[in-house]
Order: sequence, then C-alpha cells, then structure tokens
Amino acid sequence: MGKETSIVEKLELVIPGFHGYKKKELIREDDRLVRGKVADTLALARREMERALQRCAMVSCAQLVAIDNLRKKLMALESRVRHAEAGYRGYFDRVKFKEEELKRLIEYDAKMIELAEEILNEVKALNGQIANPQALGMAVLNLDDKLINFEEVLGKRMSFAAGE
Amino acid sequence: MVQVIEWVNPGEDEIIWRYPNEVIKWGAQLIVHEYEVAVFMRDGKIYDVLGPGRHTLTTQNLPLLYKLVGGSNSPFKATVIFVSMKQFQGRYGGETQTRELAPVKYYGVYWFKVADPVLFITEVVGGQSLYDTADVTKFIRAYFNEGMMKHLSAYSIVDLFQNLDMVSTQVKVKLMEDFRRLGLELVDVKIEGVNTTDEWRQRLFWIMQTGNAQYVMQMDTAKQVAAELGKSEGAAIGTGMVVMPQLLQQPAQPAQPAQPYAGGGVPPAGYQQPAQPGAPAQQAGQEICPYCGKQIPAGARFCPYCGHEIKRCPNGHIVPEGAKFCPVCGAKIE
Repeated sequence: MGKETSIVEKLELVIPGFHGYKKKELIREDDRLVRGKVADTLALARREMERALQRCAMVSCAQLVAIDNLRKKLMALESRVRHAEAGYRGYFDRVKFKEEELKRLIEYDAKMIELAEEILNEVKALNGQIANPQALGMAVLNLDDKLINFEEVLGKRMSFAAGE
Repeated sequence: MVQVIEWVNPGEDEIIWRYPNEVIKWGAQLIVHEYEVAVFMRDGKIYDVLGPGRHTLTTQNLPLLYKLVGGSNSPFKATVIFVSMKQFQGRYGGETQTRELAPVKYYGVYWFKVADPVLFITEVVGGQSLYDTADVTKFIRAYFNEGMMKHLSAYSIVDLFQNLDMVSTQVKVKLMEDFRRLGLELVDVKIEGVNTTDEWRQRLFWIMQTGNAQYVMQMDTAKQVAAELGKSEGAAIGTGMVVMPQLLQQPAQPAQPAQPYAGGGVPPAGYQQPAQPGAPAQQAGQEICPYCGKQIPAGARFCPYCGHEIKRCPNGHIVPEGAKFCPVCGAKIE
C-alpha cells in the first residue's frame, strides 16, 4: 500500500495545460486524507466519551447531561472536519486557489491533528474521573475549552478556504 | 459502453438500496456520494466498503470467461448495496407508570445513523432490497419501551416533568449499546410529551398541597365508597354509619410530609435533599394550577396557562370545583 500515481494519472501530469489541475487535485486528496485522520481521532474521542457516559449513568453522576452535550459538540466537529471545503473555485470566481493556498489548507489540517490528540487525551482523563464529582466537573470544563480551541482553528481554516 | 452505478434520488427515509442488476460488467464505474457508502459483494462475499468518489469495479465478469463457464447465465454475480450515512429520525411512544403508580403516556423522537454498514447489512437487513426508518423503528421498538419504562418508573410525576432532559439522556445511554450491536449509532433521544389522566393530575396536586399522600388517598377511597353506597339505599344507612366515620378519620401526620422525589434509583452524586421539612412543595409566592400543573402567581384568580378559574376558600387556599369545605383548613365555602 502506498500513495502511488496510476498510469492515467502520470499521463495527466505530463499533458501541458492539464498538469497544474492534476497537481492541485492531488493536493486536495492529501488534504482529504489528513482531514480524515483528524476526524478519525475525534471519532475515537467520541467513543471514549460514550464509555464515560455509560460509566456516568452507572453511578448516576450529576454531569451526565453536560457530558452528553460535549459528546454532541464532538460529533458536530467530527462531521464538519470530515466534510470540510477542499478549496475548489469556479472558473469565474473572483478568488482563485493556487497550489500555495492548498498547501496552507494542509498546514491547518496538521495543526488540527495536534488539537484532536489533545482532545482525545482530555476525554481519557475525564473518563478516569467519573467516580470523583469535583474532579469530573473540572475535567468537563477543560474538555470544553479544548473543543472551543479546536473550533476556532477549524473556523479559521474554513474562512481561509472560503477566500476570506 | 461503460456501466455507471449510482443511487439516484434516494428517498427521505431510505437507509439502504440494493442495485437491482447482479450482472455487473468488468470495469463498471461506481459513483458514491459524500453522504453514503457502497458495500461491494462478489460471489456472495463482502469484499469492500467504498467511500465517496468514483470507483472502478473488478467483477471478473468478462463475456468470454462467463460464456466458457456458465453459458448464457453468468456465475460471476456482483452486488452493490448503497447505505446512506446521514442521520435519520424515528418515533417512539408508549404507556407506563411513575413511582406513585400514576399512569403516564410518553412519546418522542430519536435520531440515529448507520455506524457500521457491514454489520447493519449482515445483522439486520439481510437480503432485503430496501430498508427504511420505519423498519428500524419496528425492529428497535421493544428496546425503547423497556428503557423508557425502566427510567420513567423511577421518577415521581412532578420530577419527571422537571427532569425530562435527564430521563432522555439516561434512556439514550442505556440504548446506545443496543444500537451499536446492530451497526447503528444512536445520536439523540428526546421526549416530546408526557401526559397523565385528569384524575391523577388533581390527586397529585392535593398531595403536593397537603403534603400528606395517605390522607389524600383516604379521601379518594371515602369518595368512592360514598358513591357506591349511594347506589343501594339500605346499605347506605347501615354500612355508611359504620364505615364512613372511620374512613373520614384523619390519619396521624407523617414525620416528614411527602417531598417530590428527586431522581432515579440512586440519587446523583453530589445531590442534596432539600432540607425544609414541612415546607410547601411550591416556592414562596408561587402556587400550582390543579388543572394544568404549571406554576401560577400566588392569589391568581385564573390560570394564565390553561385559563381555568381558580376557586379559593375564605382563607385563600385553592379548592376543587364544587367543594363545600376547604380540604386544607376546613372553612366553609360560600
């Protein structure tokens, strides 16, 4: 398994005039792969969160609804990342997307990987505090902060992809 | 000519759709949209789950090969099943009882999506060509009713209305595993409505007003006995003289008046019982309408929510329609 180009794709890369479009297309696919990785990490965090919810229901902890709200937030972020814009522009659009801009998108994605890992760690920490109501409250607030941070970076990426 | 396989115009509630043609040409182009996946089966086995994009199918279905092996009927069957990954909405509803055995009807909505297409197809859908939300609702109904009955019966009716979000979350957490086992993901559960009978609504109102459930139930019994005795003149004189005084005797006040029960079987961690024995159930300056159960301003003559007239005794206590004496202070009502 590897990121190889097929014969047709190699042909497309040597055809003058088509070369640029093909290169941009490959960068968009890279962007999609990286976003997929971020979304998968968030999905992992969501599953960890569901475990926390089940433990919380077992001991009837007071933060059940709060944890469920964070889970919904996480789900929304996961979907937004997975289906985010990939920098396509119409022929007559005023804002054009060149290779440089597409590479910037991947940089944003890489930053999101870091934040997604932090979120996953925070959810694991929350899962460990279910039996301790006070520490659980703090863990919920910390996770909320991390989610807000992530949302901000995602928002910046979306604005950039929209040419703002 | 290239064969193009695509799910065009899926219905609002359709979860899966099987491509009807099983003889798929070698090199057929499969188009999968962002909101769906395609499960590719060949020779009866699942080979891959294909995500959004354009895929070229290698089906072994070459005209020369199948004419050699099977004549006119190709043995190289391939199946494509499209699975929609969007969120779907299902409905549920049923009847159960609360902690004080008050009958309640509930209904609501739940949202789900397919989490594991292979599991869903193999465990639930099987050989069906089309599967929609009504099928899932039918399949999952028993899990819902069991979960709702378990959790609603742990609450008093007053707390039930105040904690609907907690109840729906508890039900959701309980059902998550059941959904996951079928390859589905339960996104959310909401209770749209809970209702009880008028008789129980009034009874609960008096329990909250007097703080003495035993007395209210005893008066209920006395009313029923009186109604039954009224049907037989002979029995009314004899039995009525013996039974009625005992039934109307006020029982000893309980050590602690009935408080609204807060929460399910185990009280939540960090939860504190209200430390006001004997305090009325409603907040100071607030009363509860006996007809709709909502909080109304103290001394209100009409309920601002349901519009019912609120009858009162000379001492200001709320009394039921047609009462001759106040059940709280005993004052005669003009």
